[in-house]
Amino acid sequence: MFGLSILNPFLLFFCALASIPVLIHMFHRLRFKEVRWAAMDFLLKAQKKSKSLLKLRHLILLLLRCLSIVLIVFAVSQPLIKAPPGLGLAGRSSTYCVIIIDNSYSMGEKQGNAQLFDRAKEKAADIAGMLKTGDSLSLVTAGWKARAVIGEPTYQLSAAKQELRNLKLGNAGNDLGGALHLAAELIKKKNEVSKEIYIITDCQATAFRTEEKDIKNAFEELSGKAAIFLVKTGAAGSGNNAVANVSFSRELVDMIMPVRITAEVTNYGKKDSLDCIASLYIEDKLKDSKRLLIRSGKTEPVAFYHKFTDSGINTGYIEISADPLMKDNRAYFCVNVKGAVPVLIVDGKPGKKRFEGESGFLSFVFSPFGPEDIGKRNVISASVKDFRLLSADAVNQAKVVVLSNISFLPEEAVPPLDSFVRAGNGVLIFAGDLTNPQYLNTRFYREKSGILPCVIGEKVAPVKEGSTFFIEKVNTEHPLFSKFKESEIKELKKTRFSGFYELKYDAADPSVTVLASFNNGMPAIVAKKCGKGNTIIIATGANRRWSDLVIKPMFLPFMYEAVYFLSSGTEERRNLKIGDKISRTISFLEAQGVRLMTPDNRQAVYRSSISPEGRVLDFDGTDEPGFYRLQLGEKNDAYAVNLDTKYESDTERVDRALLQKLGPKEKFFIIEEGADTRQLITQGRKGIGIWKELLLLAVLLLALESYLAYRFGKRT
Amino acid sequence: MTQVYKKYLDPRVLNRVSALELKARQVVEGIITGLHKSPYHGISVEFAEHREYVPGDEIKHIDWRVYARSDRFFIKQYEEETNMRCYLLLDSSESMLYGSNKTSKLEYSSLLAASLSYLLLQQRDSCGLVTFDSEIRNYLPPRNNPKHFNLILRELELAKNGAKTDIGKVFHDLAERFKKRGLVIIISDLLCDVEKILLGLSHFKHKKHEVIVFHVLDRAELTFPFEDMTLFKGYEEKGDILAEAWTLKQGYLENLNNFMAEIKRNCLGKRVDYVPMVTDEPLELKLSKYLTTRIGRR
Repeated sequence: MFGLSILNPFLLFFCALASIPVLIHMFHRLRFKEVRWAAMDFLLKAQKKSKSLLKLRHLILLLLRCLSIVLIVFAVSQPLIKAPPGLGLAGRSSTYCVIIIDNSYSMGEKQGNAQLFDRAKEKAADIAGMLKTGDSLSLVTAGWKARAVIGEPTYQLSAAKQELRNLKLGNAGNDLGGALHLAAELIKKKNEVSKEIYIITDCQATAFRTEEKDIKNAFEELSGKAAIFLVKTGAAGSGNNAVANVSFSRELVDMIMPVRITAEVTNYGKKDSLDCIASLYIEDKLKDSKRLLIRSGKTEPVAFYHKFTDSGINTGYIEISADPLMKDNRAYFCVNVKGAVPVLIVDGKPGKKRFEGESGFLSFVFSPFGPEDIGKRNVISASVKDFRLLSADAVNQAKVVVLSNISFLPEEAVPPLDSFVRAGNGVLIFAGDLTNPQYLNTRFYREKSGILPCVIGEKVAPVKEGSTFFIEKVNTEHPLFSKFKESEIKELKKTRFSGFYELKYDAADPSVTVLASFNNGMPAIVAKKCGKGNTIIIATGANRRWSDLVIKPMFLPFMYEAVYFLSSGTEERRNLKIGDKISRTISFLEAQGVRLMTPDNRQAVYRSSISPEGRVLDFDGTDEPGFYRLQLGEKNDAYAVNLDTKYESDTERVDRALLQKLGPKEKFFIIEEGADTRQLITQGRKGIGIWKELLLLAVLLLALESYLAYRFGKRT
Repeated sequence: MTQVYKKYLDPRVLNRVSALELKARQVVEGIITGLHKSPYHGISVEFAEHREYVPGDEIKHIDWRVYARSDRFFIKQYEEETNMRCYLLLDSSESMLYGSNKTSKLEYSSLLAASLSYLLLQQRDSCGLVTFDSEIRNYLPPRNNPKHFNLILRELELAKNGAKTDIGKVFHDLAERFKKRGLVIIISDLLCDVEKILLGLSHFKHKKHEVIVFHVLDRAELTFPFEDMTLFKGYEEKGDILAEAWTLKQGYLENLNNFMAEIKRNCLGKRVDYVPMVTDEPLELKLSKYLTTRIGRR
């Protein structure tokens, strides 16, 4: 049966006020005027006729008045209807309580003197404190990924409180749906009469919107099985700026040219940010600062130009000025600064003089100021090798191999070249007069299994003598061309080709990309992703007999970009997001004394396995933003791990309407920030507050009383 | 005595009604020659008819001229006019003491009775006065002596007994007591059992009296101008009612109107003049209007 409990029972004494209408009635009857009357028979007859009806009317009005007062007093005393035991709102017999605490990084917002997460923990402790002996508790965190901190219900509430105190703010987004599913699983296992779920969250809007379906499903799963209290923590966000997505203007960062380091700063607040200062730190040293103006809801790029002075792994971050949510104010990055990129040019027709052989133009492009310039003004260190003398060692010492006008290669160099590409290096092929398509197709295409992107066909010459081909389409989305200006692309398109080799590629092969096509629709440049590395083939030779490409000003940047692109495969993916896996293959020699240190300088525990390439280290505990430093003996490497600011940095709060839409229709209580959590939970536990309904009923009764009084008192 | 005159003889009333006359519409038995038709056919100036002589008739009344022409004896009959015996029946019960304004129903009724008796005595009719409540309190037999007026006024002055009304009983008693037919004028608020009133009136009619009923009521009794919580203390020991007056108004007025309608209907049926009087209405106007109407009906 439904029971009734009253929060302020002492107020019920005021029910005595219900006697007021009776007293007024009696007082009214005492105040009369006296009249001597002759025609009493008629009066008596009239009274006899209407007496019972009048009495009834009086009684009705009196009852309505008294009842209205009683209802108002009753409403003020805050009565609660207790649900039957089966509905889980029964008295305090034995309660199983699951506290879901949101530890997503948006809970790190500081409001007042405390972080929301600290306040959430206080609230959770308060809720735990309301439990009595015999009650049990589970604790679930709702930060990605939802986790049962106390899965097995504990009856030791003090230990649970200690666990609560030890909870740490996460660095990922929200997984409320997962947490609710987890809670649903937990309550399924318990047979307690009363089950309660407390969700303590900042109600960040994006989290609810992106997970809307999942949260709704979870709520439906819980509907009717437990009373759900959603305890809002924190007021509406006062605005937040976040920095993310650090990128470099070049694939290859060297010590010669300054590189543009760009980050995106987003203003998630409702006001424009006028005095946001972004600063670039390299190896914890401030290098540059800029003031930004970021409109509300907009993302602005902030760019710094920096010339690295040390080769190898460099770490840095871009930091923006302080705001209530500090977690997303830094974007970390790691970059491997190159001292030199060794390029091996394999010449299929070596010449004795400069520009005589196939490699003449290429050698000049890679070191225009001579060998002494390498490492000072030029990062590319190019060397030329006769195709007949190519060895495995020569290949492995380079990062990029350029095969120019090759008819064949020594047999011992072919397999290493294949491995060389698959390991993350690059090969650039120029066709030429001596190119032997049959040999190359057989040795390097191998029915799509080789490093050659396509089958090399016959030479294609212009139909009319004296006419030329030109480039018509350029894939500017490919990294090779993405950094080119429009004028440079135009210049490329103006290049005249007197002939080329037909390149027959498989359009269905996703690893193959056409980067440029001739005006007759045939491919001019084709690339293939092969293992970790890449191969690019150009359908024409690197000399003036084939085209005027080599004398075009854009040939130099084209070749540099090609080398940067082809050499980038060897680079580790060092810029990660929270939760991303660090996976590194190291040689067996390096495997001695490997240590992975977390941002807070703890030694991380990683998994180790063996593969043909060497020892594979796997670590998937990247739950802190910052640098994870890998010590490989004397060599050091680092990984930058950043927050995913896409959803969690937006501190806008979800509105109550959506919460009510998502939540169960019954036994779902939303406790606003600032409300008396303890009192509202007590109300929710004890039953459903009915004072609003009672007040409404009292008002209706009073209206009815007024209407009836008017009707009954209508004097004819 | 002068004061009593002043009290009951309003010059305005007298001025208004002195030019009028109150004549019996039906024959009344009087002892002196007057304005009213007499049941007796005697010596008079007004020839009525011839009647065949029957033994016992006085010979002196034989019309010899008719005998000479027809050789048969006919008696010459004359219509006698006589004075009227008027019985003023004044209700002096306690309920007549009610008055919402300065004038109580009894005062108004006394004024009416005095005016009527003055008028009657002026036209040399006999006028008597009966005051009654549950029984006959005083009976002043009809006289046409002008000095009789003083007696009537004295009786009116004394008529304040204030007991219960029992019109039925009184009317039956009086009907038996009035030997000769005459004009019975009832001045009362008629606040008692309607059946008894009607039986009493029938009794008078049965005795061949002409009856006029002056139904005297107070304005407040007709309109019931009360709204608030009121304690109605009944006259004639009829009990008290404490009630919000507006709740009773409709029922009361319905009952009153029904009562008046019934009285009026029955009076009409019995050829009894029913004259409703309200104490706040000028008596001279109301009385002269009635008398004028009555003259017109003759």
